[in-house]
Amino acid sequence: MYWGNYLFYFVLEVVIKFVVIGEVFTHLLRRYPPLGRLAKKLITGVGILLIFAAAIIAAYASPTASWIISTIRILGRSVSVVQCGLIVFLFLFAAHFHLRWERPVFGIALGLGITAAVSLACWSLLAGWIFGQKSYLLDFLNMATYHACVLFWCYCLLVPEESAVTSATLPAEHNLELWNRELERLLQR
Amino acid sequence: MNLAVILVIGAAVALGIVVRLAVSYSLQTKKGSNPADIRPIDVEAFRNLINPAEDEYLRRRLPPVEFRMVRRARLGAMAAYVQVAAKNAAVLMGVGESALASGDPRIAEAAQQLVNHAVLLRRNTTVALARIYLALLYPGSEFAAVRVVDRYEQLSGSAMLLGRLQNPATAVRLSSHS
Repeated sequence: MYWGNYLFYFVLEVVIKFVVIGEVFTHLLRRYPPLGRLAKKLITGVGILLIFAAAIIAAYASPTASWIISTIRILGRSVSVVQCGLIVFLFLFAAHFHLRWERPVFGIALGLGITAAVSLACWSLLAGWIFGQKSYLLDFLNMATYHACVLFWCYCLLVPEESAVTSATLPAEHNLELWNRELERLLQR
Repeated sequence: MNLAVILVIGAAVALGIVVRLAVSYSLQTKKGSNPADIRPIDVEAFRNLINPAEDEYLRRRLPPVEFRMVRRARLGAMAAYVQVAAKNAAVLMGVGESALASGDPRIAEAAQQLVNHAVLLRRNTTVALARIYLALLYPGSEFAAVRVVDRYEQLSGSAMLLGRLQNPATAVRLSSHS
C-alpha cells in the first residue's frame, strides 16, 4: 500500500517537474522569438537522445524480489537522467546565446538543476542497491537538497531583484562621415 | 556498480556545469555589458574573404595541395571574423537588453530590434563556425558565410539606430574603415 502510493505520487511529481521545465524554457525564450524554431528543434532532439539514453540505462537495471521498489528506483534513475540532461542543456543554451533570465525563472532553473543532479546521483546509488540497509541516508541527502532548494526558490521569488549596473548607451564615435555613409546604405535598401 | 559510479560522476559534472554557468551569469549581470568591448570588423574585407568567386579563382589557379593550404588559411581567418562578430553580437545583446527598460517607446523598439538581430547573428555565427570547422577538415568543399555578413550589417544598422536615439549628437561604429 505504502509503495503503491509512493509510486503514484512519484509519477505525479515527475509530471509536474517536466511541466515546470517546459515552463522555464517557454519563459526564457519568450523574449527571443527569433530563437523559437531553433530552440524547439534542439530541445526535441536533446529530449529524444536523453530518453534513448534513459531507456538503455533502465535496461541495465538489476531488479530484486520487491518489484515495486525496483520499479521506483529504476524509474527514478531514468527520469533523473532526462531531467538533469534537459536542465544542463537549458543552461548551456542560455549561456551560448547570452540570453537574459528573469530572476524567478533563473532561481527555479538553478534549483531544479541542483535537485536534478543530486537526485540523479542518489537514484543511481539506490537503483544499484549499493548502500544496502543504509539507503535511507541517500533519502536524507535527497530531501535535504530539495528543502534547501525550496528555501532558495522562496528567496528568489520573494526578495526583490537589485537593479543591475548596466551602461545601456552605445559608445559614441564622432565620425559624421561614417554615420552618413552607413545611413545612406541603409536607406538604399 | 559501474553504471552507478558513471552516473554519479555524470551527476557531479552536471552539477558543476549548472553551478558554474549560474555563477558566471550572475557575475556578468552585475558587471553589465561594456560597449567598449565591441571590436569593429572590416566588413568589406570579410565579404572578400567569403566570396565564392575568389575561392573558385584560387581553385583554378593553384595546384590542389597549395589550394588546400590557402583555403585552410582563409577559413582560419574567416573563423576569426565570425568569432568577433559573435562576441560583438553578445555585447550588443546586453546593451539592447538594458535599453529595453527605457521609458521612451522609440528606444525600446530600437532596442528590441537590436536584440532580435543580435540573437539571429549569434545563431548564424554558431552554424557558420560549425561549417567552417567542417570545411577545415575538407578544404575542397563549398562554403559560404554570406548570411553572417548580411546579418552583421543588419545588426550594425540596428545598433546605429539605437545609438542615434540614445545619443542624437553622435554615431556608433561597428565596422572599421574600409
